[in-house]
Amino acid sequence: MKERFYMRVLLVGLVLVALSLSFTPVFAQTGSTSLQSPEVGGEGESFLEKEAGICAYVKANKTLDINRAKSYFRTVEKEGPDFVVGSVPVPGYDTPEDAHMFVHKDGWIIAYYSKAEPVAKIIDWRSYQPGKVVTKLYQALANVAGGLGVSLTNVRYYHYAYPEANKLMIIVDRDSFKITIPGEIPIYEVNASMGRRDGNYGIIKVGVDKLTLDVIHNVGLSNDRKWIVIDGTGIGGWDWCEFFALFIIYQEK
Amino acid sequence: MLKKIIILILLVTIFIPSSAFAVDTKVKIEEGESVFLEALEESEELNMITAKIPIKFFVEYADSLSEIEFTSEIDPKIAVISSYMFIEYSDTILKLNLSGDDSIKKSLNIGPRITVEYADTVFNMPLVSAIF
Repeated sequence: MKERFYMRVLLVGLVLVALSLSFTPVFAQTGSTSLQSPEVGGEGESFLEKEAGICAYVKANKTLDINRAKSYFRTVEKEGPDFVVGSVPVPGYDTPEDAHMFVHKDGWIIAYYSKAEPVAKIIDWRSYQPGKVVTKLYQALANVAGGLGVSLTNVRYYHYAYPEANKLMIIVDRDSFKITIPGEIPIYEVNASMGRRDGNYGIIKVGVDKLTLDVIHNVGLSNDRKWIVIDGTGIGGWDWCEFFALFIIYQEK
Repeated sequence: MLKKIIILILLVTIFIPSSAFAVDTKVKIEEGESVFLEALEESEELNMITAKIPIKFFVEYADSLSEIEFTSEIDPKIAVISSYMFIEYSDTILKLNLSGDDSIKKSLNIGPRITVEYADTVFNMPLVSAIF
């Protein structure tokens, strides 16, 4: 009788050990951030590589109904067997600010602006608060992902034109700031947006050459707040603005 | 004899789960390198864990070993939903990021970075490809 009792305890112990081991989570190092194209695959991936520039995306852990996704589009731009592309309104903005939206049945929801669009277009000036930048791509993504029941806890950004880039720095100010870019850092795109809280804005092409490497630059607004000035020289102008933002796409080594 | 074996097994049973539920991993970071940690097939098992668990990282840099531990503030299910974690660092900050929101910071001395002074907002956004 006593033996049977001990055998039972032995069995329970073994089961508990087996269970505890089976719960051990395993994490693996998958390498550095040498960037690859999002693994959408197939025709969808080819399309994005050709058309897309800056994008914000999520990957749902479920199959998506692409016909249902179309109900959130202002216009349908392209339909493939596994994906659909359309334009999606950004709340508070007119049609020219619409984001393109790629929805794949495998779970990909990708909001993007085309390759020709400057990255500075993404800032949502209507939502800007000091310390907090909201992008139009996020706003558009939220509408579609929310409608399809997909969580936005893991929104990522990528730029199809610069697969080697791994950072987008957005610097927002009301008057002026100083910036130094070390020579070791590859820069791919620099442009600026001058904006107001009503959502109106102008984009200024700055160019990589305006921010000489290893030099402290002073970047600010002119006295009438209509020009962006770098080291005392006007780089480009728009209209009176409350804020301006500098966008730098680069590779952090 | 059988009694001793049972006591031994019970002791093992009691002590193994406390370590098995903690996610320990060691990551070596070279200068100028970032690291992804990706959950493997065990995500289903992770989903079954409802309690908050400690997740420890050991980050090795320049021959020094730093231990970083997520405490109970972070639900491991968040890590499962995001399916991977991203480690990034600036010149003085090492940040471990779970699902883009929760992070802890630790000082390390590492490579050259863009420096900005006196700006209202500096938003340094990672551009990442999807590794699912």
